[in-house]
Amino acid sequence: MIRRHESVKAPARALLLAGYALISLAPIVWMLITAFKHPADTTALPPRILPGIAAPENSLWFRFTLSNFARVLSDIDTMRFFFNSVFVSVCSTALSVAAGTCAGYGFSRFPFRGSKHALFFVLSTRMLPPLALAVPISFMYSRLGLIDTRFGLILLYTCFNLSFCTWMMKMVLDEIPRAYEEAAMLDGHSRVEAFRRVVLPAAMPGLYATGVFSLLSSWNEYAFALTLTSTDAVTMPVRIHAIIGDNSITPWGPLAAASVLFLLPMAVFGLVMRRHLVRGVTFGAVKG
Amino acid sequence: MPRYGLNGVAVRFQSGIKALAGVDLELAAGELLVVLGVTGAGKTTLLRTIAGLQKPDSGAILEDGRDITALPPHARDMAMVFQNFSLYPGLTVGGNLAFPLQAKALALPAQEIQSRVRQTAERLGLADKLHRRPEQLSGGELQRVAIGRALVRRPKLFLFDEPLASLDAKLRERMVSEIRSLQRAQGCGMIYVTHDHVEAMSLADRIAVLDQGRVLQIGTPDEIYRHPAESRVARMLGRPGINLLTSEEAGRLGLPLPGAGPGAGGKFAGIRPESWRVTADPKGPAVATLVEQLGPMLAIVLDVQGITLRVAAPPYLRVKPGDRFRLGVDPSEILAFEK
Amino acid sequence: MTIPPSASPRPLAQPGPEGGPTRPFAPPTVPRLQLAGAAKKFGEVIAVYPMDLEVRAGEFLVLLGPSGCGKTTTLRMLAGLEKPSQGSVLMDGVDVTGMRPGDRDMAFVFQMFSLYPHMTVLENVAFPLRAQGLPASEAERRAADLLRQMRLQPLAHLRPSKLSGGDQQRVGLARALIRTQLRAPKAFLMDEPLGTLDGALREETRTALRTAHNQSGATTVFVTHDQDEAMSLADRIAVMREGKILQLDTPRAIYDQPADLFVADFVGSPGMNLFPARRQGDVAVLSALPLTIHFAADLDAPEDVASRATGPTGAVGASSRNPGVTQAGNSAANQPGDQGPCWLGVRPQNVILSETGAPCRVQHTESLGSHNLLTLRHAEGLMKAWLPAGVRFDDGATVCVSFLASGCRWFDGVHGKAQNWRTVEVECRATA
Repeated sequence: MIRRHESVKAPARALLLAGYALISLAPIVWMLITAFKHPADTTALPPRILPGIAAPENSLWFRFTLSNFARVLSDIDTMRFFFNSVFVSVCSTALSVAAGTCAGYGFSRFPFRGSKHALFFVLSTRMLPPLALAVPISFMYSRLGLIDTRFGLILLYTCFNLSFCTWMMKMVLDEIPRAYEEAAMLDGHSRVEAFRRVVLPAAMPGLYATGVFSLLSSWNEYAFALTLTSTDAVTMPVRIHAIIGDNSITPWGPLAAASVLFLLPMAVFGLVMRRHLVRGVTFGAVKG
Repeated sequence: MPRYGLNGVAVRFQSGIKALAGVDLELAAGELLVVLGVTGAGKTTLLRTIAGLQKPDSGAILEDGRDITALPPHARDMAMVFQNFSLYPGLTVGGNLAFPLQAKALALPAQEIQSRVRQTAERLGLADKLHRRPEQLSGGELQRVAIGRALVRRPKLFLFDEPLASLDAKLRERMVSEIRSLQRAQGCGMIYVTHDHVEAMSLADRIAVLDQGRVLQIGTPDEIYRHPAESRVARMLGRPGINLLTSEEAGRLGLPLPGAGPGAGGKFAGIRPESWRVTADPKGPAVATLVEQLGPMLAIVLDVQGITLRVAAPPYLRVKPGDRFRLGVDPSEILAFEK
Repeated sequence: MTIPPSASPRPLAQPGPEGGPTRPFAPPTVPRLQLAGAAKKFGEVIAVYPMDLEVRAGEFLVLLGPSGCGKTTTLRMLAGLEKPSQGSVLMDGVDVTGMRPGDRDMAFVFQMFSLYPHMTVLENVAFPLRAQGLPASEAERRAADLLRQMRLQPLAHLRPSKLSGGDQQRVGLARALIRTQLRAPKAFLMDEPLGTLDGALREETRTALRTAHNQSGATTVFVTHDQDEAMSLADRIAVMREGKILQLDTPRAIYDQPADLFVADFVGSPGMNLFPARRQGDVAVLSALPLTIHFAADLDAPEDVASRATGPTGAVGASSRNPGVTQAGNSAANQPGDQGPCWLGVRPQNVILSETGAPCRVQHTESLGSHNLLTLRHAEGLMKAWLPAGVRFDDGATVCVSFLASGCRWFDGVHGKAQNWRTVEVECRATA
């Protein structure tokens, strides 16, 4: 009986999902196409969506070109800012995951009086809207000489991601039986050794997941990058926005090309991490 | 092999629960002490405290008279087998066995590790399974590897926390004798925690009965069975369990309470099922309600004037529910309990 | 079901003076359950081979076996939680294979109970009665009665989260049992419900369970790996292994006459001592101990001879190497099946210490309270013997053992199936 229901449901479900995929993927497809369009074709109506050599009037063909990418890649500033993004995100992620793992381990294994309140306080730092903090932080940063430095951004992103990493890692580590490291300690390993050899390997999937989320949030961060950088430490989100603002007519082609370049590392990274990610997110379910 | 001692060890959890309320214990060199108690008696906390995984709030742990309370677990040279954890899932059997030997402090050469792992595996009949992963092993094999992990380092003291609780009854029976002979061969002390009285009695040199964080009695299995200090201890050993009668019930059955004079014999009378002399008598006051075949005896549940009694009879008797009996008991076999 | 809500709980059975069965009556509505050639495959793995099993109306049947023997799958097929890959499930002869579990009016008791966390113990236990429309006061009165019976009344007003695991389990059991008081389910199917209980509690709960069954008379199927539990609860036990039933009989019969070597070893704690032996006509010779065992002259029923005539060819070959041994044999002893390897099984209580017995080294004496268990080393391994409490020997001492002739059980050397050879005498051969 259940079978029969499913046979009716299956195509309907597929249709629904296809529709949803179409809607959610449309902007990305649009961006991809635009990145390869000749500037004159970008704003044409009806939209031209098929790559070609020539673009006859009122056709769906656009002129395929790599010039947008050439322009973006040859722009030294954009490349510098791209590197800034990579450097800042990777460093802040590494730092926040490392610190968050330690903190999470502490919260998970050594609860103290009021540790629940402390844990909530850690999370509450995430509750303030970034813009509310922008002014005091930029004031502090200017006094400390951290304005427009990569170090300043790394510090800030690390602080912001730390609360999330701590929570996430605490939950991951809670799932790992204490007996794991206790057995190792009785086997003659010190706690640090036990942590490194037993707990950490078991926590790896969760660690990957935490890292991915943290990296994404640093990579995409815009508000602080905008207020705290001007020339040296600018990151890609700010740069992309700047491309829009530079001209009176928006250069859609270069903008899309820059966006594709911006998207690419995370897409590749996401694919590479996919296996770990799925295991990480379902960590509690696959245990034992 | 060292002696161990616990002096007034107390542990209180953050929740305010007193897990251990001043425990004194002595473990002679090479002795096998079984800590027997129900779930929540504090058995596991006791083991964890001895291992150094739990810091006592007061009291001291002594090794040959030396205070080791402050020593971290890895410096105590004890090995523990846990109840709910057996092996590291990422490692093979060989890797699991080698793990305790790879501690930095030991600084053993790889060759030595290899040969010790091989030796231990052979001893436990696991030599051909060294490359298996834990998920490819049966329950009994898993537990054997877990025990192997404890053996391989040749520690000064074994701590076993209900290592057989998750195994089938039959397998458990076999592992008990394996554990005993391994401990005898190794010659080092062992503290073995269990709630199973048969396991306790068959393993122990001495049994410590633990209840609500207190040691109620320590002694050889025989002493504890024959002379329980109080009714809680008496109830814990022996299947079928002891018959505990209030003095009023004992009076109704016409049993003399031991000790002189009325009321002097304490609050409860305890009579072991095998102490009853059972005689079939169609006019007798006792009616069988349940009959169980329990190996060397027949366990009969009798109803006498509304009082339920458990009685052991010879296994060859043919008894069915509804049969009637006369009962007798030697007054010297009646135990009196104050509490 | 059939008992109206106003009915009071059934009275406890009062056995008559002449000692009839304790169960007052099995209500006519209690069903007979059957598996007819039912089998279960999970992918390529066969969990249960085609099986015929009849659970009689009102019976307490225990499925006993080691983990992975298919006992839980069998139970789940009866419950309808698992659809047989082939064969059918019958209730009172009616095919219910396709019927949903909820329509079968059976109560399934899982290994782990889940209690409602927002209710007290009393409310939890009273809940099934409330659900069937009993007023709160009456439901709670009955729940309190049952809690008292199970010695749980001190916990009545606690929330489940405050209870230990064992107590939670007992409360869960109480919640399942209370249904017998009202609109009782036709059958109880229980999957190791005592699994996590400790020592004395376990025994008390076991007794409570059996008493409740005696009162309700509901057909009950109970799964366990613990042979003690099986022996004490069951009307009949089905011993299972690798998806098959090896023996289905009363506890006593299974204990006294195990159908094969596995049952002999599995049932009993410890199990039977098993010794390889070689039969030569009307005697059998043990290799582990210098003992020779004589069979009765009329030891073989004709059908046994027939069944063993096709027996092990190796046995014939082996006996031909010892010509002349059987010269004193009777006619039955000349059958080819009477030669060759077999197994002797002896329960530890049938091992006796006797001056005329075979010498053995004492390995160890365990005090188990009511009795002492002696472990002895013979030429090929270990054996166990029960001693009266207080009797013990030093490790390494030598004692002489023999067997009670009436306690000897025989199994063929190839398939390990029980043989009904009758032993008349156990004799010690002179040792060199």
